[in-house]
Amino acid sequence: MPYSFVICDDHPLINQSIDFFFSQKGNSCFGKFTSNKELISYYSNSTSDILICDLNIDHENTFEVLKGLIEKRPSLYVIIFSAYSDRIYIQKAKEIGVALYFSKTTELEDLYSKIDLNNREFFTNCQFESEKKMFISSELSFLESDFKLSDQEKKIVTLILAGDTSEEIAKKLFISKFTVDTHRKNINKKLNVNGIIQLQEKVIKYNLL
Amino acid sequence: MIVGLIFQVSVFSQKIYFVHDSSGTLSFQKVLSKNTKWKESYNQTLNFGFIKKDVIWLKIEKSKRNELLTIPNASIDSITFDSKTKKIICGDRVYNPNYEHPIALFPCGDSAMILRIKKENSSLVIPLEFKNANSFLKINSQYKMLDILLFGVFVSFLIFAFSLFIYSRSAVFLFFSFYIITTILFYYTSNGLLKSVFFPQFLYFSEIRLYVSCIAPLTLFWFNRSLIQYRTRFLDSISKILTFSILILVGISVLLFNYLKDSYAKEYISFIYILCFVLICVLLFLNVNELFLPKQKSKKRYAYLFLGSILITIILFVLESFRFEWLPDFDFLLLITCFEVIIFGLFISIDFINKFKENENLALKLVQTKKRALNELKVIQFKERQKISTILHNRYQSQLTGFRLYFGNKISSDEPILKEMKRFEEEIRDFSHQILPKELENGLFHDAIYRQIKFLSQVFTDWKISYQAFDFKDEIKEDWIYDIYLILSELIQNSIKHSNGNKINIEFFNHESEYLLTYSENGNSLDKRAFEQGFGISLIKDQIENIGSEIRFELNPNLFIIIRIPK
Repeated sequence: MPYSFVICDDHPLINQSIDFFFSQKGNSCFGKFTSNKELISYYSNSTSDILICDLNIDHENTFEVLKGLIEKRPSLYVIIFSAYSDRIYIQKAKEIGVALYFSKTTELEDLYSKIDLNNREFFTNCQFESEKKMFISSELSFLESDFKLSDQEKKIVTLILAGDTSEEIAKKLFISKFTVDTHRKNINKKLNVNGIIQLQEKVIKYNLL
Repeated sequence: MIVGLIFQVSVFSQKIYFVHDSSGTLSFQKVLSKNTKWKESYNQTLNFGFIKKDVIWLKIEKSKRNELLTIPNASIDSITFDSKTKKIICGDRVYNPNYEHPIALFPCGDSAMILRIKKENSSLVIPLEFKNANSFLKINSQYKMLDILLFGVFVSFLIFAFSLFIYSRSAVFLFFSFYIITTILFYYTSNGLLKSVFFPQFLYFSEIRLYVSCIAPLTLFWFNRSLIQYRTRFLDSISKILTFSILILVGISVLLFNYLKDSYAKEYISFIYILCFVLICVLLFLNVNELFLPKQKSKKRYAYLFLGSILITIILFVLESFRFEWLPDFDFLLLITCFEVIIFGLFISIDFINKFKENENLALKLVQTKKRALNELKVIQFKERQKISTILHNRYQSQLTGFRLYFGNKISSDEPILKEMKRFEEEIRDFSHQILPKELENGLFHDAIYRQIKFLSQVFTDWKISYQAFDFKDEIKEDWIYDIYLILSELIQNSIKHSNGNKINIEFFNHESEYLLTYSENGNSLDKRAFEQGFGISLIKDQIENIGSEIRFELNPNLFIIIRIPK
């Protein structure tokens, strides 16, 4: 089923290319705009099925414009085609009811294949950082997560359990007392322990050394 | 109450002394000249003074109980008291602020006593007084308290001046210290306290005051010289030569005094003494002469102060010498010497405090300027990065996308040129993010760091960089995230460039009172000093300190950095 679409991007070449690609597939282009103002004036008296839009057109945030358009015309199928793939933008787009969020590095073919006017569920092809490691020490599961004590921290834990004070550890490892204290503080945070007894329990329980 | 006066009259060039007894309580049998020998057994050698010539013999017949005969005269050098049962030699002046020579009279048994008075100056009138022993001792102890109080003031000024010298390395304070020391010596040798408290074993210690009275103005002169600062080298060298010669003369007279105890050579000593004073007067004239030249205001103030003090000293010296009846019984000369020290000290302190305040203000301004410069640098850096990032991202990357899409419509999408363009596009995008991540604007510090690490891991595949954050929320709404982000980028790039390791581990802890960021790597080729000095680390340190944080480097054996950000 052919769509009617509008393109808004401040790069005319992109506008032209998208128009060309979509028109090849038998769709009709209702307008190509390079600024938010043109876009708003267009939607004040006419409409289209799809809006393909870039973010930050002319250094302005387009989200407010899009929000207004979607509120006015909930049937509008909005596709964001942006160079930004930040989590915060994607979240925002999802909140205001954008259907598709595509990074500009993707092929138009992939974008086209995802368009489905009946299914307005949000989709993005942007990859989030899967390797992100944020730990909350009280919820840390030592066996499952890939979190580890560093070699230096292991040495220090061994010496703490042997009963050495911070000064003695500093002397043995040829580092300053300040550094040892920092390590101790961090170890306590990582393992969510207070004092040597708890530390010993955890080390033995999870075989951390 | 003065009961008697010893007068000197010259008749046919011969000195004759007689006693004028107004009240009639004393009866003086005879007043003799120095050549008279009263007792053959008397040991005269013990009784030497500055000028040996003028010796007066007095015979006192009786006196009341509990009374002291005092002879208030500064120029009396020693008194010998002799009765049938006792012989006392007051060879040195005992402690007494009024130069009184108290002699206890013995009414029991002895009907007559003999006094032998030896003087420094033959032209002065010598008064004789009877004083109640108890009241004399009381007044004496009061004076003693005053002297000790003044001593405390002197010493505190001395400590202050010397600390200022150590702090500022300015010669003025050193000379001021010397001036205080010599004034203390002059003051306390003049009234006998120094001898009676510290050197009771030396019989003729108070003779030292003659030489101290030469050196005290000399130090005053040097102190003023360092304040005024001569205009010409000629005057400067003259002052040096004069000072040197005075010191030599004083040294010679001390030697002569020690080796030629009881001889007429002491007249030469007095000549040297007078010569010293003449030279000092020349020096003082040099200072006064400089005073009338157009100089700096503060210097002029010191010069006038100095001139005033000298004039007052001279006037008081004259008044002291004549001992007018209407003058209160008080030692003005010594007291004014103290006040000179105090006034000079106050002026110097005020000057120093002003200078100190000025310096402090300057230092404060310097710190503020540095802080402002750092902040501005930060802002500029930030703006530049933002600009470059935006240009790269919005203009070039989008332009490239446009090209790629355009060509994609014209040619087959399998063409390698399109893939290459896409890869290039992605690189530009990552690079622009690396320059300044958009995430930071929304406080997504961790996201920004992850992205940075991801990008660097893709470029430098042999490096393994890991980042772990403990007990943080997604967003950190703090100003320092830009600084820490840039610093971390700098550190990672330094490691990749200069280290031989292959692992970087960054951990960020949210402790109760502070944030702790630790950065460790497994390379160990770095020299700590080189690391701290180079590679923009000094700038990093400044930036860290500017946001109120602390950075520490450890290189044992691998690089370990702690950044502590207080909450």
